[in-house]
Amino acid sequence: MKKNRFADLIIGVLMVLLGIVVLVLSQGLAQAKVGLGPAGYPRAVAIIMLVLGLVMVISTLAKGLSRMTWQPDRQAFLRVAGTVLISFVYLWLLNRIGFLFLTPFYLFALMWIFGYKNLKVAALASIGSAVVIYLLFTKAFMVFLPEFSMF
Amino acid sequence: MFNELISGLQFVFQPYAFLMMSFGVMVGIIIGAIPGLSGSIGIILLMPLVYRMDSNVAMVMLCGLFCGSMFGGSVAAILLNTPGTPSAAATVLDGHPLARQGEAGKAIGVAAISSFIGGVVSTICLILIAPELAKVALKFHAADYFSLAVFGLTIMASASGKNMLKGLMSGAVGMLIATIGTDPIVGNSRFTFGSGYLLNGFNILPVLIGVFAISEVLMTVRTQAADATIQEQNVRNFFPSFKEFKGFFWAAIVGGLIGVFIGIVPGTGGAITCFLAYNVIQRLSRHPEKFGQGSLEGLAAAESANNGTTGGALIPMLTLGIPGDVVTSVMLGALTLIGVKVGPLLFTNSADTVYTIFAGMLVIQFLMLGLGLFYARVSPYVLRISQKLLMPAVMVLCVIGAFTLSNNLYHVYVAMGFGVFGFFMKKYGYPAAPLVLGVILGPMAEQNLNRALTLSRNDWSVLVARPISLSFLVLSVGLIALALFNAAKDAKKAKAQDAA
Amino acid sequence: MKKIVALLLALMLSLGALAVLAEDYPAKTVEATVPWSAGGGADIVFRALAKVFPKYANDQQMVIKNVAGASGVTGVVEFLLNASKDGYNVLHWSNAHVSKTHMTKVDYDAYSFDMVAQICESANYLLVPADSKWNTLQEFIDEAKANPGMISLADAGVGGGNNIAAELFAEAIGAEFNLIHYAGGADEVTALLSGEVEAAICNTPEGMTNVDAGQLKILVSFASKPFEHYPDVPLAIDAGIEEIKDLVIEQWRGVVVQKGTDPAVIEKLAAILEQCVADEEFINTLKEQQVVARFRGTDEFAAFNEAEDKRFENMIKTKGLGDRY
Repeated sequence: MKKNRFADLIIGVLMVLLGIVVLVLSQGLAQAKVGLGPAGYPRAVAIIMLVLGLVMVISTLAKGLSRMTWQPDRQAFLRVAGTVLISFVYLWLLNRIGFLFLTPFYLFALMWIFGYKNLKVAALASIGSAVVIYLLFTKAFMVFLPEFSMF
Repeated sequence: MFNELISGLQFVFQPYAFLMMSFGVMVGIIIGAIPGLSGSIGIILLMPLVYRMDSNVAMVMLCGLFCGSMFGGSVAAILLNTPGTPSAAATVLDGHPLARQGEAGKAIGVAAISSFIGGVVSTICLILIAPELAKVALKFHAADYFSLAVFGLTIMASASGKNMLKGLMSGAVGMLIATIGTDPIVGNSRFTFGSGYLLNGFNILPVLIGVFAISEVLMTVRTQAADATIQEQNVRNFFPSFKEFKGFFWAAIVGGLIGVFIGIVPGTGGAITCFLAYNVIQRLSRHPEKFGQGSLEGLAAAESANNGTTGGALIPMLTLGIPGDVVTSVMLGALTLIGVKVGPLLFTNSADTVYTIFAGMLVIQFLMLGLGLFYARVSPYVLRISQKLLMPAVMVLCVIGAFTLSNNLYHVYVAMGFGVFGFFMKKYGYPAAPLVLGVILGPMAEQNLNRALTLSRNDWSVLVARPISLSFLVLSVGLIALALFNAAKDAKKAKAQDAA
Repeated sequence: MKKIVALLLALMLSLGALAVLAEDYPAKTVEATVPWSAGGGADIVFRALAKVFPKYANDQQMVIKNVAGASGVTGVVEFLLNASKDGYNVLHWSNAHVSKTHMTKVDYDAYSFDMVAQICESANYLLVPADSKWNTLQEFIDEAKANPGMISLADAGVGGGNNIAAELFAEAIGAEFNLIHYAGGADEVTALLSGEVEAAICNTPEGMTNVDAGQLKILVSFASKPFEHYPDVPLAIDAGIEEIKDLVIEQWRGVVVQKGTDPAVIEKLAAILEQCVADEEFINTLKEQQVVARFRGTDEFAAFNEAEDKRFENMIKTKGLGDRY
């Protein structure tokens, strides 16, 4: 793996840290008389993580730190971050505005981030899909979806 | 026995029964294909219908739904790289690469055929040796379950493709994730930081949706300029050639058998089984290197295994009254509500119901094959829709799927969080399959080890004293040794090539 | 647009004089939150209730909303935060919920809601393999007392109904068991059949089909009334054994609403539930599960709830279960 060696290093370190954190946190868990206590299994996993993390760190360093570059693609990063952000906003508003009213906006925003050029088609598709999905799930499948509840 | 089977067949071929059965299969495939909806939800949806119908008809309809949903999950797995149900998780490994190569139709066709083979194999086992097989299931004690889980976890080392270390790390994280919530031993909260919601822990479904589906959406949005539509699909060719069929037939049979036997063990489901089958077939295959790039054998193995579990899971349900997996437990609830008493006496008291089920299962496999091939012909057209429109819709379906799990947004946030996590995993080359295995098998290993030790009063030798447990542990050690040996061999080869 | 208008109208109706509301109650669908997944015991009982509900409730439906998670906690918390106070949102309440509040710190306790009525109860009982060495309860108790911590006894999960029952039983007879926790009644039965455990505390209908088939047998029932289906099974209260003559352990389920709901609405709902519980169809559906339809009215249920709450609190504190205390 020539590319992303830097990332591997970071992840290896993170894994080691995570293992340590789990070991520390599991100190607070009770012990049991018979069998494993609540702490037994997490500790085992933590140790495995420590070992794996160390192996990763060592093997990455062994391959040499020389050819490590980090060239983030700014556009791509913004797109991904944007998607994630909009999704969390969508979820946050979902219980207030309800699925039926909020989803068309969400779909439209996503389509735009994805780069779909024809905005009219996108708008129609957003509203159309949201309505179809809503009807399908609440009427045909009898599944609960978040409803409008502002007042 | 044969006579009863004939009368069972006569029953299911009556127009009403046949219609309801087909309806069940069709609904099952559709529900299975939507990421986030699974067979359990399908059964609940059909409850209003179930109330109103004759109990035998209801049973075959539910069986149809069960089998259909196992196949349906693969459609999403192949087309969208996201398993529609947890049992389709191994199907993405070879199914989606095939779609990328333009062979989505053939992939779904092979999936349909393999599901058919797996289903037939398991139905035959069901009919011929159900009570005997049930006895085998009862031989499993806690220590054996633990070793089975360990065996499953060592599959991780092999299911990781080229980079074993990354696969193991992924798996370890999966195992850790499963510890969050209430511990199964004294009921303490673990790593919940006082949050009432985290008491839930992380359910496998939102993790699956996040790590496979949502991460895929994010990956697509990242490389947005690239393929706007996946390579032109070869839709006309949805039926594999005879040569190809001969190639994967054996994989389907073996996969189906594995599915039956693991499915019988209560508490194991389609997900574990399909990975196990996938791995076993990979080891036995003449072209193991093709696995992960679109191997028909791999696809066949995963698909027939998950349908093999349908017959397998029905065996303990019908013979012991114990559900074999999640879907069968919901089925059991539904059947109870309409007054069907499932349990050991079913064979003696209501033999006609039992044979109706047997006959129904046989016919269902054919229905599924037919509908499946139809989907193979038709659904690749879905891929003609621009990814830019399709992916947002997939995202919304993921939200709904996670939401329906418990009608609140907690699981959706979890799915979203794992989507981001899964994105980084994909970006840096960490395979997702071991994570899923870790989340499913971790608790199984922990609870059973704990039970085994409590029963034996901290005597660890119980793990090697029991033959089943010992066998699985030996297999596990063997697998790890083999994997390490192969890794060392590859490393040496690579060094030799570098030097040359 | 239409939807907003309809919503406003509905809201106006609800915001109207509460007395008027009580008389018309129920004027629309009632939503019942069941904090367990579909197909389970709670779900089955409530769906049976929902089936007969329209008969006595102005033809209004009861709709089941499953909100499973964290052994019932997720559903209760969700209800606590979101349910309305007009009687159109109701919650499944059972002994499992009460005992859970003493296992871990959760945002509610047994008194966070207004009790409406109890609708059923089901017996806990002791199951052993049909060919086990114990033929009578006395033999079992004797061996348990003579060998503390040796007999393996299965339950369905820490802090759950079967677990509490097992602890109460052990305490009553002054014995100690090797308690093995499983992830539900079905797993307990599997373990019994496979010979992994020697005995199990179960709740109806766990294992009953196996009893009928002669694979398992019930040594004692902790119900207040004998099983209709198994009249020969002794009850703890009249087995003639001193230590357990007062031991009644049952799982119970009822309906509760948000605190602060109009008492007139509660009264109306309780009356409807009383009729549902007396309904033939309801009783029979529950009978299939060996669950007994049992009605306790509002005040009686509240008192019972409190009694059970104190009982569990005591038990959990003494045995050091969970991590709340």
